[in-house]
Amino acid sequence: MGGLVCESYREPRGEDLKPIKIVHLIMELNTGGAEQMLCKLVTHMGRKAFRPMVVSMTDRGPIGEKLASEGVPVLELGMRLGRPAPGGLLKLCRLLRKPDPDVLQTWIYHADLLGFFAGKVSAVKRIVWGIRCSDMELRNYSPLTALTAWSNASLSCFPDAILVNSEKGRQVHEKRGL
Amino acid sequence: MAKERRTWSLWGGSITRKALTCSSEHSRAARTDLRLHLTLVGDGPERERLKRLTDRLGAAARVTFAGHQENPVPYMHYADLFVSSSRWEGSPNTVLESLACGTPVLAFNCPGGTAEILREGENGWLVQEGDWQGLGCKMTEAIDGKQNLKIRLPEQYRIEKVTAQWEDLFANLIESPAGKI
Repeated sequence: MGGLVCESYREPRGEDLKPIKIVHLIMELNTGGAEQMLCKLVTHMGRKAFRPMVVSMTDRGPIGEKLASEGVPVLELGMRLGRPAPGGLLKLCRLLRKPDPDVLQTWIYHADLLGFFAGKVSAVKRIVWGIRCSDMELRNYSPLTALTAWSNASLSCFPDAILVNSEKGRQVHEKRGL
Repeated sequence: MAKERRTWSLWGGSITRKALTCSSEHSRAARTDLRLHLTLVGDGPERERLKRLTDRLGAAARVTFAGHQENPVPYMHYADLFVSSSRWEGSPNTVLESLACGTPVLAFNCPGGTAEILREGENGWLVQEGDWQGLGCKMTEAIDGKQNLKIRLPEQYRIEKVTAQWEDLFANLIESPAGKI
């Protein structure tokens, strides 16, 4: 977010309500912009009302270490960048059973796609995609990334919400069919 | 001699996106305007090529390669200007962080959210994406014009505001019977 406009404001959740369990899925936890934003978000959200867990598709990375030092559970799928791995999907499905999250929040294309399938298989209550780019030149990325972006457009009617962090990002992705 | 000015630019590992080609314009600007000193924070596979380019342009003494920094905030505070030469962006953290440090931003008007954050002449300046020469020329002008600016992070980008939006969204999602909002 950092661009999302949520029109309907709600009063803070009461003390008697159960905390909302949120699993954040992201490709890696190195020092990129999305990773930094995830870290800021998770460490600033109220811990009484929200219970976060972070899953990296690859390894823990420096942001993962920082989150862990703040008491946030951080798990790794051990996938390799640029290598689709069915094992990663199975591992994520198993991981999602235990915390039984209320929301699966995914961050950027690859995590959006993996999280969508794992979330559906694991019957996660709500799936929220996160888009943090705008008109990126897909030709500068791997064919796998371009394929993932295209697949996401086809599946984009299924998540419960799609977040963008800029108005331009929203416009570009709407044009692409999201 | 006029007071030395300090420009600062952060380039990450995504070299194509961060458009290191503009280093030559940075270097040319530093060579022709002796008040300028360019500090590059960040790293990537193009670093050595960039160093050679800086040497070839005779601007090595006015360009510092700071490498990857765990905490770039002191650089942001120290700089008179942050230069963002990305070719596309989402909502760039570096631009937001520079503004939060009170440092104006000179950026390419690239596809993405940069233009949604910057207000020409208020908290920064935009140059047409790909206009390397224009970016180099604008540096001196931007630094000279900086004194008239009161730089602050736009309210809607403050982490407290952003976090509150996410919290509202998650609460609404859970409480909405259909899920969709």
